[in-house]
Amino acid sequence: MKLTTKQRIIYALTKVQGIGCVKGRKIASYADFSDFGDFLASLRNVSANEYIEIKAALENTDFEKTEKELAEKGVEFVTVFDEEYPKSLLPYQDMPLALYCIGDVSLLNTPSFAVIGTRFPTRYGLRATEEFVSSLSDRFTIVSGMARGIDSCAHKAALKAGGKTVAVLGSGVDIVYPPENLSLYRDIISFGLAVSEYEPGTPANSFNFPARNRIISGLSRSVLVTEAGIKSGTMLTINSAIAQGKDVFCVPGSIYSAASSGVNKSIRECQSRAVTDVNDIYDELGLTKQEIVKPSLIQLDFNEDAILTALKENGEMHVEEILDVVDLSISQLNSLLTRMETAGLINKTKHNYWSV
Amino acid sequence: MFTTVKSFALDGISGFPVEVEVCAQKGLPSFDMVGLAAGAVKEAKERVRSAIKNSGFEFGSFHTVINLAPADVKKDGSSLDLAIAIGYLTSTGSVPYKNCGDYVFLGELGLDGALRKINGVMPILISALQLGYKKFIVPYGNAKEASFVDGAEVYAVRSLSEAVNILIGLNVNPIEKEVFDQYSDYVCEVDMADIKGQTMAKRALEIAVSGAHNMLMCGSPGTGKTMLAKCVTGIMPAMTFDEAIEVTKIHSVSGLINEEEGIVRHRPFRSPHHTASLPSITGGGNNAKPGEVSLAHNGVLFLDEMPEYPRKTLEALRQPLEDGVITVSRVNRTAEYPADFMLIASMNPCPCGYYGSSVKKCTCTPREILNYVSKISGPLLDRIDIYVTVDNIEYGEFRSRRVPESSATVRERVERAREIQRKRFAEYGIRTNSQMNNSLIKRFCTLDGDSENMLGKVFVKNNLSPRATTRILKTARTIADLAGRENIASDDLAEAIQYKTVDKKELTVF
Repeated sequence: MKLTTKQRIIYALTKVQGIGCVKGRKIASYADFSDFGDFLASLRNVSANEYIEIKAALENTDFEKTEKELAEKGVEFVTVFDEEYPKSLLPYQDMPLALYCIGDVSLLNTPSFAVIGTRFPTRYGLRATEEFVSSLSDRFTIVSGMARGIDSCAHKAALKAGGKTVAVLGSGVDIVYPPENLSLYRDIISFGLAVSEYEPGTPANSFNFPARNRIISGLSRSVLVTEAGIKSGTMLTINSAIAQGKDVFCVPGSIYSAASSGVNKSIRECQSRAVTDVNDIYDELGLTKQEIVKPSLIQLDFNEDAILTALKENGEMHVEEILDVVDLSISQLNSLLTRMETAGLINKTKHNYWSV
Repeated sequence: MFTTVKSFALDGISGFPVEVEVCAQKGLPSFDMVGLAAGAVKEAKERVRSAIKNSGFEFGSFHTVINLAPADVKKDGSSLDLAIAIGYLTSTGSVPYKNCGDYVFLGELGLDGALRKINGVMPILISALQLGYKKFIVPYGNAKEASFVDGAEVYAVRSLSEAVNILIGLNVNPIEKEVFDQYSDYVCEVDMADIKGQTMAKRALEIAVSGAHNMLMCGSPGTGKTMLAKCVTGIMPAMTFDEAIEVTKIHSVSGLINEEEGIVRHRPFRSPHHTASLPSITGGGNNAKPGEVSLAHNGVLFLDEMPEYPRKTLEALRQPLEDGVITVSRVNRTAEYPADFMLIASMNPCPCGYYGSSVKKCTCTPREILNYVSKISGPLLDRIDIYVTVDNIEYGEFRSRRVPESSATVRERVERAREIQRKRFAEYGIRTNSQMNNSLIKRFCTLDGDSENMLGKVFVKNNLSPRATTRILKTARTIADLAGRENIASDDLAEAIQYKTVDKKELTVF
């Protein structure tokens, strides 16, 4: 791609140490970007040192080489001056001057919803993520961080439902991290968008990851957290979303589950709203409700009825516990459980554990 | 005088004839042995000399040459001692040679002339019968083992002098044939009735044993995986005589036969420790001895804490799991051993053991868990038909009113299911459902419309691979056999789906 003068100046600015997002945005708000000389002349409120550095960056950067590299990797460089730059990020001063993107850039300005969570999910969290995302993706672009666990699950569910998805990466936009997500990454760049504020080739540094959380929440209308431990990075995203004034929705979990301790705390401290199905979110946002397709009721016999009732009462039950409720052999029970599962009446929460 | 005495030496799990030629002449006293005698055979010289003297015979001054023919095959083991001693005695004229040619002599000599038992009597006798040999003189310690071989006339002797007595025509009766009773005195280390709860795992074990399916149990420490595995001996179907002979041959070569029993009556249950070397599992050593996989032939190989085994060891199991035999090649010898075993493996879900546990918190990182689980390779997982998770039994379950079934009851069902399989597969050369190939699966695992429908749904929902589907079908076939049904009913298939194996990705999510 060919960089315009404005883009060149911004690219050079991102390379200057000491000019971060906030300072950079300030400069962008007043300076003259028409050419290098005018730009330097119009600079105000920068120290002598910074001035020298900026000047050096403008003079020494090999823009042709950069253009070639970006083109080779298929990366688009989107600056605050570009139309593609997400409008949702403009109000915040700590947002990057430019984003590196691979994929469908138009997604940056579509209504978006962040779905995030722990890197160590349980089946419960994965199931909730799938269910929420499959209907949220009808109306929103699903934004997440492509981390292990819930993030990856959210992207996958959005793609599976035929929806759009944006992955905000903490590494360079061409770096796949975690490596097992290679095939997911390929799907995302072909059917969605991968975004990063870091230059292509930047390795996955752990200190970069919390910073990208502000972009995830910034891009989105609201944030949904399906499962998060008390010390997870997801809690930081919740905080940044609240600082940005976004609504945060949480799927409550068992009080005994470590993977839900964070969401439960967030709900307890009234930072977020507990939601149990997608209509709770639509209700809160003032959107029309969506009809939830319940599994068609099949003719229940005596035992199926007993199992369903017991599961409803107890939440999650072990096979042994179910055996105590019904008068069936393990063989009969297992085949009944498969039937009920395929009919969509019950779900395996983990091996040997069932819930409604 | 020159004499020839017949004996046998071991090669793998069969014997080969060795002619012991002795030529004792007047001359400078010497006692030399030629004919590629290795190890124990080389040392036979000294044993034989003392044994002869201490049995009251004269060890004269002869120039003696002993040749072990065929001269170009290495001979090991102590089975030739008796033949060498008899050869010397007949050659020097202390004992008449007249009847010698009728017998095959087997046995190890002690310095006092006593005959010690040797390894591999049953395989040797079976090979010898095929070659037309009829009469055998074996050590008394091997009498029981030899008595199970059909068609052999076996004389059991305690010492060199007793063997000579037979040759000089003293009236000695051959030992009586033993009748094999497959159902006698069943051993049962842990009875299923002693294990409270774990109904799911117990049912899975029952199905696995019925169809000889390989099985993997996953669970935190202390959930009872090892105890469950120990139950297996109690529910295994009895071996037929032919199966028992196959097993006895291997155990005999390895010197594992109980003198009193003489035959391996119960299906073997082998549980090598994870520090076991690769050759000890697959077979090997200088003489290509059978390893654990062969010792577990017709029985169970139990690998406790499977990911702790070296990758190499686990990968080496793939060939025997697929073919039921293992070929052990060494410079000196190549041997093919049967290794048709059922694999039962257990594992923790992660290095610390508590991933997914409701009792204790796991302290492993995702990378550690993935690495741990990755030690079991995809191809190996592909060969495992049944998977169960074993959970901690909570207090309530100990008090559950349900009375667990005893191993004897379960074994009856297993026996019936095996009988059905035996009849069904009689013409196909296999014994169990787990051995079915694709064409047999197509033939014997037909599904009705309802079942097809269900399998289709499960296939889509769980993203199953075609291989996983075959495994489900095989398991369903066994469940149908347990219920005595001719065709797989939808109930059988539905149950089978609950024991379906998982891929690596699923192993890392609880």
